[in-house]
Amino acid sequence: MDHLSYSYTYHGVYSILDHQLNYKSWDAEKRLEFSIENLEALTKHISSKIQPETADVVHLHDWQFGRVAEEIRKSRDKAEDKTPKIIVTIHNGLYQGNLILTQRIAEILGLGDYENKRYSYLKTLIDNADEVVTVGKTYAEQFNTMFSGLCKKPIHAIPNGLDFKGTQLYELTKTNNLINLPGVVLKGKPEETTLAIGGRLTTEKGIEAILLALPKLSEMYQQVIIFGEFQNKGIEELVKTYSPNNIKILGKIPRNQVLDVLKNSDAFLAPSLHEPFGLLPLEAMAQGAIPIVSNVSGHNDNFVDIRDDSVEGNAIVMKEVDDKNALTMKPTELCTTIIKAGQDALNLINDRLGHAILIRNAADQIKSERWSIKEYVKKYEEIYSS
Amino acid sequence: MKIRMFSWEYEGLKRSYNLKGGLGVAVGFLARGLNANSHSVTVEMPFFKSTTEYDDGGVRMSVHLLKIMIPIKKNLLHLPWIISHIHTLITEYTRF
Repeated sequence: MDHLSYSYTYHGVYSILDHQLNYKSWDAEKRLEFSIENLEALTKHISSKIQPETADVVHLHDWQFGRVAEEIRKSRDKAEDKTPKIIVTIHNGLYQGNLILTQRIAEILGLGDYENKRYSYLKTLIDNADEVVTVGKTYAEQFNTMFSGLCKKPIHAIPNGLDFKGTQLYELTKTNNLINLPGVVLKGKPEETTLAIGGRLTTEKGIEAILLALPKLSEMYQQVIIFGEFQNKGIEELVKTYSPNNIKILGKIPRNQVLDVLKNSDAFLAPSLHEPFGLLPLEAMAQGAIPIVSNVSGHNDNFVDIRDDSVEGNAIVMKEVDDKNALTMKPTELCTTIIKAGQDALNLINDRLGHAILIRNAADQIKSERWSIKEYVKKYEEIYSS
Repeated sequence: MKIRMFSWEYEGLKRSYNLKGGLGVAVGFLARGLNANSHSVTVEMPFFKSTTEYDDGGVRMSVHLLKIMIPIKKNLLHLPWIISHIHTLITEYTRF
């Protein structure tokens, strides 16, 4: 399969938008036009089905529905009706559906003057929303700094709700007499350690630095397990080619297997350069793995470094990888930070008491209402009704 | 309240539609939570690559098929199709 056809079958119809500048060719322009035509066809289709009697609220998730929001608002304005209410949740502001207009695209989108103009689906989505929500407090606070001019409205922060029932720490009941912390059970022996890495293996998740750190990490840990999808197939091939035997690459695996991998891992590495929420390190924590995380928005909301705070500490946090530095950090710099954090996690595993305290803190948080689905739903209900 | 959600990821109770993580999980928990609070909730995924419609614990789940075939032959794009399983929507592109 050639590269461009791959991009379609893998990412879908909207794939090319954020990559437009990488495809400077006639084919690329035609494919982009094709993407926009598809999105327009879907927009017309969806918006024609939305009437005040069929929906009190239309809740649109992410940029793909920018034109849908616009069309619904137009119908509403025409009918002088405020129903349905348009709620928008931005799960990741890095993906905006940006494109440079061509004559044909301007025609498809019903825009006039097109020369040297850019178009943003996410901006269209935000401009036409009644309420804009994103998935974390820090991310909401920083949104307008990171994406200047994109959103002129107040942004609500509603962290994702999660269900931890059935996870190792939620179900934790046994007592480990060795360390005298009731309810805490540590995983295997310090000399048999597993590091897990997974999810969407992309640049924003720090994959280039992970690649550089892998040889060292595979020496430090008895086993390194990588699961999920590599966006860059070249990196995937590189990892596969030089990986020593103790690095296992599982590829895309079903969710239940992901949870099993996390359950059997001692640490989970998430050096994201941009992270609105950060689901996987939380799931890893709930399965008793030590999260090794960057200090960007979502991680900042969810994780506290155990080395600084023995009461709330639930992770090893790479403090220097924060929202100011992360996106401009060189992979070699991040690699050094990852290796150091990886070693700190190992030291924690060897320090049985420190490890037990982290597990206890994490278990307390998992069992608390901190990521309660009930609260999560209630906050959305308030916005729907406001 | 009648709530119609649109998302390109969804993780249902059957956990069969997990693609990448965060978004799907967030939408899944929200839809099911709203449904548990007696709202009428529909989740539609018009960009997904397979087709189904089912009741997911009370949440009406519609997955539209968006099938795109782009065989590249002699540098020409052949006819791609969009087919929606729920509401038939076929658009033919001939200008390529």
